[in-house]
Amino acid sequence: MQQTIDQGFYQSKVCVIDNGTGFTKMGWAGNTEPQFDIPTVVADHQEKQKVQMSKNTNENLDYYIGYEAYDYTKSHNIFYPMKSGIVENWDLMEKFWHRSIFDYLRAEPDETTFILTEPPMNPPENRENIAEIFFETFNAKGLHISVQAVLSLFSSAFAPVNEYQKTAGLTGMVLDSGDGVTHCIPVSDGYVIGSCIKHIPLAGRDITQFIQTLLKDRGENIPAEDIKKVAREVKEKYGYCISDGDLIKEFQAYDRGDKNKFKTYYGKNSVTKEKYTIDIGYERFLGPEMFFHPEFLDGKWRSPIDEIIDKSIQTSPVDCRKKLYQNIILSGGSTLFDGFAQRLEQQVQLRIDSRLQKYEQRSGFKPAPIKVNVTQNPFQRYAVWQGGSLMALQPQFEKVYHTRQEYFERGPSIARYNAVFQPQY
Amino acid sequence: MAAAVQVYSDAIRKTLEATLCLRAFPSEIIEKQSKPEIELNGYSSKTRQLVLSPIYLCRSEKEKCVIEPSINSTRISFSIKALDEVDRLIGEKFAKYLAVRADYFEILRRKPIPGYDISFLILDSHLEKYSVQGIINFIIDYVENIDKDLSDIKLNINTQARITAACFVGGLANQ
Amino acid sequence: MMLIDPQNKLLQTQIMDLIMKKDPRIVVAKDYNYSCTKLQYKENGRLFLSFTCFNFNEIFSIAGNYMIDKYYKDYTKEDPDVGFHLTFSFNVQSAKEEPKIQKNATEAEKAEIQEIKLQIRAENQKLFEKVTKDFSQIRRNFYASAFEQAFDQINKGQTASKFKYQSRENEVVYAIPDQDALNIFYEISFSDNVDKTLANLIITEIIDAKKNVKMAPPISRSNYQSSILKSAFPEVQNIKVDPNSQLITMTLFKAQHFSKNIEQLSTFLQGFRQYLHYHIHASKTYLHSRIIKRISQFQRSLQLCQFEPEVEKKTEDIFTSSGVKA
Repeated sequence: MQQTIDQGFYQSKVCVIDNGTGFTKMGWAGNTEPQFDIPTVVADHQEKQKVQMSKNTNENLDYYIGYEAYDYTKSHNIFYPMKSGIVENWDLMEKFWHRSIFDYLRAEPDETTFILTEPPMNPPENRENIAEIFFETFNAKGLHISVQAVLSLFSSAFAPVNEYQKTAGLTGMVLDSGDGVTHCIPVSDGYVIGSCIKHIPLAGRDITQFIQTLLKDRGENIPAEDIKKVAREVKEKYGYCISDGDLIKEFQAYDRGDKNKFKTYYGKNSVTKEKYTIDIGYERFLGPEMFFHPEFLDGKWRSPIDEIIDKSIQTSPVDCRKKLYQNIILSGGSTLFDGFAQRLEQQVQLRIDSRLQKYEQRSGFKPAPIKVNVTQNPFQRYAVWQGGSLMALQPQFEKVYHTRQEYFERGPSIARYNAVFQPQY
Repeated sequence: MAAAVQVYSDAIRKTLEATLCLRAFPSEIIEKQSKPEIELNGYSSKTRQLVLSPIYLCRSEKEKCVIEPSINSTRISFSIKALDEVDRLIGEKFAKYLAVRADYFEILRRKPIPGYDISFLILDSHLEKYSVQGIINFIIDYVENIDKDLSDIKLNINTQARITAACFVGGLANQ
Repeated sequence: MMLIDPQNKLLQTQIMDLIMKKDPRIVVAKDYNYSCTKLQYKENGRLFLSFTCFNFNEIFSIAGNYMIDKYYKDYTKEDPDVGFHLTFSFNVQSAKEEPKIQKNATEAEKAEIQEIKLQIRAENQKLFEKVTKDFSQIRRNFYASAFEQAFDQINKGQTASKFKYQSRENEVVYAIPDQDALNIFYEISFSDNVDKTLANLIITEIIDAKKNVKMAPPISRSNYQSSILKSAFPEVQNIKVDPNSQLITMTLFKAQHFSKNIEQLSTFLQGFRQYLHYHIHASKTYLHSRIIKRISQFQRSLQLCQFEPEVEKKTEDIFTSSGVKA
């Protein structure tokens, strides 16, 4: 008499949760954008070690996440459960997930499959911990843990910008540059080539710092308490990369006083509310130029970004190098400068061309040219989340995620390996 | 009435001090092998001299422990007190999570022997790495505190359930 | 904090976002009870809300019109979207436009316009908040209206009709009205062992809680042999009893419980199962983190009794050391 539920309609109950250090993007798969973009922060109760609880409220539920957390700074302590992309405090993370699932997404975990993301080179123990929490505590129906770079590629594969991306699938070089660190992650058919990942200790924060020093040195009239904010806004609003890499020509253009080169920044003192203006000159292109001339910043670091990418690809297996050159994808906020993609493409292309030329001189054979492609994902900020959302809709996804049954048969170690599959268009 | 935990733990401590006199001992049955005798043949007649008779220590019907000494290994098994369903649930979860992390606890036997919830298997090689007193203290610490902790968890879960219930019924009563 | 908000936070934020940004977009979101909602903002400034759940027709036949009358009178009922059962629309342009301050206006005019502007903005805000509230509560309204209708009818002295609906795959809710009371039978079923134990614990506490709460309704465990249930729904006698499920019954009286605030009461009634589920998982989160903490404590104490790693270690040949026991 009791009717059973039409499985087909509800099978697609998949939640994608992309926990980042700063922000957590989450929502139901099938949408193009995540429905929540909240800070990864927990406001927890201060007296945590109390054994006995009060009578009327459950103190274990007395915590808040996301923007709400900031409303409770008086009575609660603010905690950041993640650091550099990796979960630091599992207790708080578990609480964060509990609130996210029940209050924010309103998912019944028993019937929902979750896609979570992880940074490249995440220790496998972390995956086991995630599996334990999701299957033991939440009774999730299924779980899949995916690498962020791979999901970025997944998203690009569905929104190809050029011909190469249409066939590239999940092979590509992901350049991920955020506020703290820049990674070059080569991915072949959805598998991260771990040994070839390169880190650059240079990212958004350093560029801001550099612009700040330039402004200060020139003696611009900026209130000291605002200088950081001004530098960041100058970087975000006016920063660009010069197209041909000829610094001298660009300097000359400024010296000639080209009209569209100099910009004016209108600021307002945050304390006295006085208005002021500053002129912005060289720092417009010198800031982003740091990626290509890191010696401006630090004499110790001399490899420009194109060299790092080239090195990373050259250490990758020989059969995927060409494909990697053809599909370099940018993600993260520090790659959003005007002309950054073109400049990077040009620089890497120069390196390849000179290498091929040398080969020709030595061997006498003329090798087929390799065309470098650098593309920006149209959904930059949500690319990872969107990749997860698209992945969940793929018919193969049904077969690859870890089910609750598998977990209870074989334990948390199942989460160590997460299958990837090629997107089908 | 269960005996005080002190008496129980003292008895375990004395027994362990006597039984944790382990030494490397190659198998008499299989050449060039050295396996924990207690696991290898158990109480068969072939190795009667190597495996001593097990010692049972009980505090109450539910809280018991068995210590099985042999020449190169000692197996100690505990059962966790379980008076009702919630107790059983917490005990089960505890044993399960512990078993998952067995890699970090060298002396933990991954599968408890039948009838018990947690088994430790101490080999002669462990005594080379850990001090005997250290291991004994570890096990005594376990015996003395686990009960308290688990019943503390139970208490809190019960409190949570009571709060949950009161809140719901209060809501129905329009309060 | 103790309750799951009857407003769907997801819809709440998305509705505000769609109205404010006027950005044509579709958002599909699932909710409890296998329900699914879809928001769509179209270029013509209309916001569409579509709703469906697995047993839509069953519940709609109980109190669907009552719900529309009570909560969604102000919105246009559209033809249901494909895959959905119910669609409402709201015209965002029905909000008043804020007047613009002319550049050549005098100070006095400016101040006046500014005042009108703020007033209109506040009105619009109120309107949008109402829309957000109504739309984001659709699941709650849908399930709660069955109870609300029954309460209303009893309050007015009419005879309310008995009803039952399936709330989940293997759970059914029965409601049998009396002259001045409503008997409700909940079938609660948890398949997972741990969930079942904790659910049992909470239900036992709920049954006990009436001692401490003033005017608590009588709540007890029941079974399909209950005479009230059997006489109202004779088919229950043929139900095969599932070992995982149990039946809970409560009786709500007009005088004490639903003479005034039927909305809050209905929110509680429709969300009973979710409430249980939420708190079971909260307890499990607690259990997990406590046990893990204890285990890592163990781990540390075991590491403490390790010997310092020796640089040179003499290994003794076991055969040369004092005689092997045979």
